[in-house]
Amino acid sequence: MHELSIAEELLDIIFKNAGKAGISKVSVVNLKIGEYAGIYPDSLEFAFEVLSQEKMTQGARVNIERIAPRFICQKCQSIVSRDKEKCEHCGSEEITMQGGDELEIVSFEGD
Amino acid sequence: MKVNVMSDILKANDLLAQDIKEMLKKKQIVSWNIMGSPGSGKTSILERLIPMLPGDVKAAVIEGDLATSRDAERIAKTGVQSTQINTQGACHLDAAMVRTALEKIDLDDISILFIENVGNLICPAGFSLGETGRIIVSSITEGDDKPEKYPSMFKNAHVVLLNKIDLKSQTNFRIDNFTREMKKINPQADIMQISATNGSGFTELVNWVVGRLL
Repeated sequence: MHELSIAEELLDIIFKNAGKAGISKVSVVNLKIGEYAGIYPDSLEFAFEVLSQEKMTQGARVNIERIAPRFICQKCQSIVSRDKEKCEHCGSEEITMQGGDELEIVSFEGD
Repeated sequence: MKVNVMSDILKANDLLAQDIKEMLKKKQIVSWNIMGSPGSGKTSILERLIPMLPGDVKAAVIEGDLATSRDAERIAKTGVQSTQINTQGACHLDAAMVRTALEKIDLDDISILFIENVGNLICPAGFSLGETGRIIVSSITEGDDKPEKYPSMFKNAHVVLLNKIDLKSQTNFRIDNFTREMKKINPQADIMQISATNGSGFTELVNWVVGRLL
């Protein structure tokens, strides 16, 4: 829904860091986006492309690594499948969710 | 050349939110970001809750809304300071909007600030507003499967208000399904069953709010 404003923030970060590194043309952008971050990757890529017109990021490839949330049993620390109500290992119902809400720029490449 | 950034994309918002949080803390104001679907009862809850607060607890409300000022007008009737942020279609509030709205509130006069976010279970979750904590309103008529469907919203809640509990018998909502999902997503959150229509659960809610004043 708000992919356009996320793309604006993303470009801001890239422009600032590219200036410092002496980069004038960006070719690749690497992102980490959690499956539960509320961001639709295609939509973010499209917003990035639109906002990049005639800028140093025009034509840059956006790599998105999707991060799945991890469900962890609090009793035995095993990883539990998302659709399970109980730990498959010890049967405990004490399961908590970690991660999945990442929204990060890892790096970018350019000359 | 590769440049390692490792930064949260919303860092600019987070930094501004941190400033707001520290400023409110200095003034000993506790602030609650209230989120939930349109029609879940966010404004109705505030309308009932605010007059029930002890006399020495002064509140203010920031109302986020797409286009109208209806909610702010409803809140103004409770007699507290209220100000409206019209997001002009944007799906969430952000820290910059809240900073501007705070200029219209006499912060030396209040000890609690409610920020009612735009009705939406997705977008507001990603934007910190500098709040002390999050109150999520989920109404019985929305169904008992919401925590797992909208985990980013429920993950950081301090309390979930199950509103419209008076309608429970008319629905197939199961409290145990809802609590089980909540336990998985966010075991720390309190869950309170309330009705903004008939007032049930509000004594507990007032105690919960008053117990968290700074």
